[in-house]
Amino acid sequence: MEAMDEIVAEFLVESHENLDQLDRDLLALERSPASPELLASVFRTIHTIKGTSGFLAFHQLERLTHVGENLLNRLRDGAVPLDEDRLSALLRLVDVVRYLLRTIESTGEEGVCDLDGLIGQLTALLQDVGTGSRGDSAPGEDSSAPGEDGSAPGEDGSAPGEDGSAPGAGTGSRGDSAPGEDSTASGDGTASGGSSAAGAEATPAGGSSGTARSRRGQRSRRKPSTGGPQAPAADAADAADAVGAAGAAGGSAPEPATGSPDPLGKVLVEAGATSPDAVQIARMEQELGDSRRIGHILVDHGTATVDAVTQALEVQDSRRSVVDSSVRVDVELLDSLMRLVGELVLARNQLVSRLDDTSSDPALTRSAQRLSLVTSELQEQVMRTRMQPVDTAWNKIPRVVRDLAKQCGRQVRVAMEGRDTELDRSVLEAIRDPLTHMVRNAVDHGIEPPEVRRAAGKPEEGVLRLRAYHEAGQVHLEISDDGAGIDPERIAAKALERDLVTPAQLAQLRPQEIIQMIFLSGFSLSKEVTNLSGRGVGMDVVKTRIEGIGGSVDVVSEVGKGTTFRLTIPLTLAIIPALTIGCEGRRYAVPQVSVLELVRLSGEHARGGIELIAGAPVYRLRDTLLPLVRLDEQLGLAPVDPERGEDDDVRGGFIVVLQAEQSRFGLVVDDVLDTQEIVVKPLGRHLKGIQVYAGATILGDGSVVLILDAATLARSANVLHGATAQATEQVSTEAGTAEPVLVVEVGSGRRSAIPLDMVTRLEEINTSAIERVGGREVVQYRGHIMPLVRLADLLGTSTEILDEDRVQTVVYTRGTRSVGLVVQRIHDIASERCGTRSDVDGHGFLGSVVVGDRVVELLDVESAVLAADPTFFSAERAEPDPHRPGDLDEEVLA
Amino acid sequence: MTQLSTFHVGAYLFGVEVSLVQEIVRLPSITPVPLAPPEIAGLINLRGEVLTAVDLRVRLGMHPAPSTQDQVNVVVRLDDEPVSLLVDEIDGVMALDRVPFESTPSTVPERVRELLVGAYTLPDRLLLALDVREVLRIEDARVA
Repeated sequence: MEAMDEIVAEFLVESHENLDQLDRDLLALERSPASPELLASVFRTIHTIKGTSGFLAFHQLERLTHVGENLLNRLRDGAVPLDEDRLSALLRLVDVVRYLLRTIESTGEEGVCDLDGLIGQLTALLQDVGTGSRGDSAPGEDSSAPGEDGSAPGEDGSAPGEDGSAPGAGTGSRGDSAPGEDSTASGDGTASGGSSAAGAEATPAGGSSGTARSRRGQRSRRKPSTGGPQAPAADAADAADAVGAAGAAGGSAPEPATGSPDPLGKVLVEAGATSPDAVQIARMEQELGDSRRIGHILVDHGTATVDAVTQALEVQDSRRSVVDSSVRVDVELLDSLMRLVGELVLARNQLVSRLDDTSSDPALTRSAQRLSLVTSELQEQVMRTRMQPVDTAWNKIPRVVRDLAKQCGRQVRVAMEGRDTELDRSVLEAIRDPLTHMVRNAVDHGIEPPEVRRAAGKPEEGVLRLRAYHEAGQVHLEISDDGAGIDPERIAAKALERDLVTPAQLAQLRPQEIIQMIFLSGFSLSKEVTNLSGRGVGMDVVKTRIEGIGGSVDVVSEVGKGTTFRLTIPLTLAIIPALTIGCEGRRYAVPQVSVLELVRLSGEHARGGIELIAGAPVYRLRDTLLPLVRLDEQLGLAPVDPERGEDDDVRGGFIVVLQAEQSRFGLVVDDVLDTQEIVVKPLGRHLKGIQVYAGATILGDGSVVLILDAATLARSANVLHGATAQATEQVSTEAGTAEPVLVVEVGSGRRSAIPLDMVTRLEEINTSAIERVGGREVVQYRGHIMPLVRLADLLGTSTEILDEDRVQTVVYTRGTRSVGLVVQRIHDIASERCGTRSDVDGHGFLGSVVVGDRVVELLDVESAVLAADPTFFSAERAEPDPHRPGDLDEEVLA
Repeated sequence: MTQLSTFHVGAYLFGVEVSLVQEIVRLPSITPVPLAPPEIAGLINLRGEVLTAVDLRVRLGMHPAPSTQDQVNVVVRLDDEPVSLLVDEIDGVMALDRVPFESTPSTVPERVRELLVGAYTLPDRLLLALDVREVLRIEDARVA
C-alpha cells in the first residue's frame, strides 16, 4: 500500500509540472495554432496523465483526459481547427484536471465532481461544425462520442477495464492485451476495432514518458502500462549515441515541446552538415562493431566537419532537458542545510574575530583563512541549491493575463525578459502573490480597451513586460505596461476625497510623488469594484509584503505612455547584511537594506545640530529636513523629552538615515560599529509582541544582538512628525545624487570604493616586473617609473599570501606622473547610493558610502598617492600639506 | 516516579519536573531586551540558538539579583520552545515518591503561590514544585 502511495505522490508531482507546461503550451498554441510540435506536446502530457490515472484507478480523471485526448488527436490530425472555443475548453480541462489532482492530493481520492458538462462540451467540439467529417480517419472518436455523452457511467467503467484493473468490464475484444498496450490504444481500439491513427501515434509518446518514469526507478511497478512502448524508446536511445543514452529518450518530461532529442545524425542532416546516406553508412559501421560515436565516424569519413558536429552536439544538448543531470531534493532538506550553513558562517566569524585579537600562530591563521574561504564558498553553493529561476513565479502569469484580458475585453501580449534570473525560493514564494496582483492591476487598470488604444494611436494589443535582473547583490523585477498610465490628478483627487492628504500637503508634492500614494492603505482607484482587483487592499498590501521580505517597491508612470513597477528584493532571506550600532552601551543591528546613509554628529555639529520643529526633532541634511527618532527614547532607555538639556547637545553620535514604509527618517544612535552578515533568528513568544524588534542574531563574538525593525521605527517617526513631515521627506527622497565609484577588494574581504574620476586606468602588472627602489616598489609604466602602493599595507589589512604572478592595479595619473594602487581584486563599478559621511574612519579614508546594500569605505586617494610618491603633488603644491596626518609624514620619511 | 530538578531562588528551594529540563548551563553574558516585561532578563546564546531568559527572582516577586551574582540557566522546554529560567543556585535532582505532597501552605506569599503546583515536605525543609506553564505565562501590559 505504501508503494502505491509513493506512486500516487510521484504521479501528482509529475502531473502538476506537466500541467504548468500544458498551460504554457496551450497559450503558445494560441499564437501559432498550426504548430504540430506544440500539439504533440500537449497531447503527450494529457495522454500521460490519462494513462497513469487509469492505472491508478482515478476514473473521473481518466474519463476527462480521455475526451481531451480525443479532441487533441483530432486537432493534431487537422480534422478540426483549433479555434477560440476549443482552446478555452482545453484550458478549462487543465483547470479541472488540476482541481482533481488537488483533491487527490488532500484526500487521496478523486471526490465527486460533475464533469459531464465539460465532457459534453469537449465532445461537441470534436465535430468540425459545417464539414461533415464523420467517418473520416478517426471513427473511434466519433462512435465513442455519443456514448460518452449519453451513458457516461458505462463508458467510464469500460475504459479502466481495458487496463485490467476494474472487474467485470470485459467489453473489448482486446481486453487481454490491454495491460501491455497503452490505454489510449485500447480505448480507441474498443470502438473502432482496428488500430486507429491515435493508437499508432500514441505509442512513441507513451514510450518516452515511460522511460522518464523508469529512470526514477519505477520501471517494475509501471511495467503494466509501459511494457509495450518501451521498445521504440529504447531504439531512440540507441540512436542518440552521444551521451546518456537512457536519459535521452525521456528528455520530454520537463520540456515536452521539444520531445525526445533527435539522434545526432538527424540533427546534422537537418543542419545540412551531412547527408542522410553518410549517416546511414556511419550507423552501419556502428552496428558492425565500431564503438566510436557517430560524430567521430562522420568526421573521420570526411562527411561532416568537426565544427558542424560540435554545433550539432550543442543543439542536441539544448534539446535535452536538465532532468537528466538533476535529482529531486526535499525542500526541507535544503532548508536545514541552509540553517546549518548559517551556523557554520557564525562559527567561522567567531573564530576569525578571535584570531584577529590573538593571532600568534601563523599556521592556525592560515587554516582559519582557508576555513573562512571554504565556508564562504559553501554558503554560496548551498544558497544556489535553493535558487530557482524567477520563471517559476512567472509561468502562471500568461494564463492569468489571458483569462483576465478576455474577461475585461483587452488585448494583451506578455513579454518576459530574464526568465532565468535566479532567486531564493523563499523569496520567490513571498513575491508570487504581490506579482500576480500587480499583473492583474496592469491588465485591469493599466492597459486600455482596444478601441481606446486605437483612438490614442497605439497598437490595439497592449504589452505587459516582465523583466528580471541581478544588480548589486539584489534582484530587480519590473512589471511594466504600455497602458494609460497613472494620472496624478486622479490620484490626488482620490487622496483628498479619502482624507489621506491635505490640500496644503498636496501642493508641495511633485506628480511622481503623488503617484506613490497608491501605496497608502485604503487607496483604490478602480471606478467600479471588479472581482479581480480594486478592493482597496491592493498596492498597500503589495508594498507591505515586499517590505516584509526586506525589499522595496516603487512606481513610475507617465500618462498615456504606461506604468512601471520596480521591485528590489534581496537574493535570500536567510543571511542578510546588517549594520551594528551602539546605544546606551548596547549593540543593535539594523538590516542594511533600510540604511541610506550615516551622518556623524560631532564637534559643533554634535547633537546641538538637532533642531525642534513643533516639538519634533529634525536635522538639516543637505537643505532638507530629516525627521529624527532617538533610539534611546524608542527603547525606553531615556525619557521622551524633546527639550533635552545642554549636556545632550555636546554629546556625539550618529544619525542613521533609514528608509522604510515610504518615509525617510534619521535614527539617532550613540555609535556606528560595523557591517556584518547576520542570520536572523526569531524571538521567543514572550518577546514576539514587541514590534520594534525584527528578531535577534548572534554576532561574531557570540553575543546576542537584537535586530531593529525599521518599519516600526518609521511608524514612530511618522507619529512624532505627522503628515507634514512626510511631505518634507518625500521631497527630500530624491536629493541623493549617484556618483560612480570603483569597488575594489583590498584584502581579507575588505572593500573600498574609489571615486571613478580618480581612476585613470586599470592594469594587471606582472609581479616579476616589480622592482624595489629605496624600499619602495616601482614598475616601468609607459616610459616612466610608476611607484606602487599596496592598499592592504597602507590600510593595515592583512592579505592572503599572494602567490599570483599578476597583481591588479588601479592607476592614478596626473600629467606625466602616475601612481599604481595595488588591490587584491577589482570588483565592480557601482553608483554610490547617497552622500558620504566624512571623517569617520581614521586615516586612509574620506568616509563611507553605501554601494548596493553595503557600506563601503571611500578611499582617500590623495593620501594613498602620497604614500607611494610623497612628491606627487609637489608640482601643484609647493610644500607638503601641513594638514596631512602625522603617520603619513612618517611614512614619507621612511 | 516523580523526579524534580531542584534549585534555590532567594530563600526558597524550588523544583521543576525533570522531564521538562533540557539542560542546566552557566552563561556569563545575557543581552537585556529594552521594552520587555521586567521578568524577562534578556536573551542568551545557547550554542547558536537565541533563548529568552526569565528571571525567576523577578517572576516570584523578589528583588532582582545583584548583577555581580552569577546566576544559572535552567533551560526548560515547553511546547517545543526552550526558555531559560534564571536561578540563584542549582541543588540537584530528587526522587520524591515517598515524600508527602501537600497543597501550598498559606505561609508562602500570594505571588509565589500562584505559580506552584504544591509543596513537598522534606524532613528539614519545604520543596516548592513550580508550575512551569504558569511561570512562563508572562503577560505584558505594554505590548499592544
